[in-house]
Amino acid sequence: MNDEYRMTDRRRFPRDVFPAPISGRAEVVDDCLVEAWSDDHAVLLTTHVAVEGGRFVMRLTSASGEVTRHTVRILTAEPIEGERRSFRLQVSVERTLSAQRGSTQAS
Amino acid sequence: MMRAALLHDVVVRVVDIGAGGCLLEAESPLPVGAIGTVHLELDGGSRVEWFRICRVDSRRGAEGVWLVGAEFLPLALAGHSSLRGLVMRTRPPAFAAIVPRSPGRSSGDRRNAARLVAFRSVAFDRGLVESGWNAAEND
Repeated sequence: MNDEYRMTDRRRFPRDVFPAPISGRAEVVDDCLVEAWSDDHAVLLTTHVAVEGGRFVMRLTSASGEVTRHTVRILTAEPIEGERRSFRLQVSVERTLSAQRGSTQAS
Repeated sequence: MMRAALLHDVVVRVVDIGAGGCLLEAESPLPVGAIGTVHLELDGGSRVEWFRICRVDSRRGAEGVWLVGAEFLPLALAGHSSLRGLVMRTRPPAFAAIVPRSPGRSSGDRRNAARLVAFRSVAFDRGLVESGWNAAEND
């Protein structure tokens, strides 16, 4: 069995079962390094499995603690040789969503 | 190089929930170990909780739906906007402590996992008609 799909945990608490599943959304967080950034174009290194044309939000925290969020679109995604599940993404930075200080929230 | 975080949204449906985690249905597989937040409208409010993906049922992928087991991460107090907090308020730990500990799985596979053996009415309005707990059943 693929390691990614191997069970790694057991329940510790009882569960309540919904009569019908409740709709929601999950916001998955991946670390990345910004290798280059100029105007509306950036190069990112990440373990996020990305596809060209995909969109996501990039969150940056400056040294002074200011958090900025940008929507980006993936232009190209290439695996990095010698690195397991690492990718170099060329992205287009489409717009800045917000700036705040010291946020610990994912959104 | 600057460090950053990439956030991407995945549409999910929550099948069941407990103080320790929940079972999600997703249209794409989330990798085991992935970290993120789950957002729900429940019990009249927006709820959010940090999670870590524990397991993915790859068998369901062929049907276009992936069953994903997520463990809640207690990174902050279980306040009013906390999904974990909501569960803990409606099922206090003192009550949970008398429920037989379950080694069941969250796969939703009734043949090889947990079986609902007891039900109780719920006195709160949070979308649950009935709830239960899992007893040990290892076929």
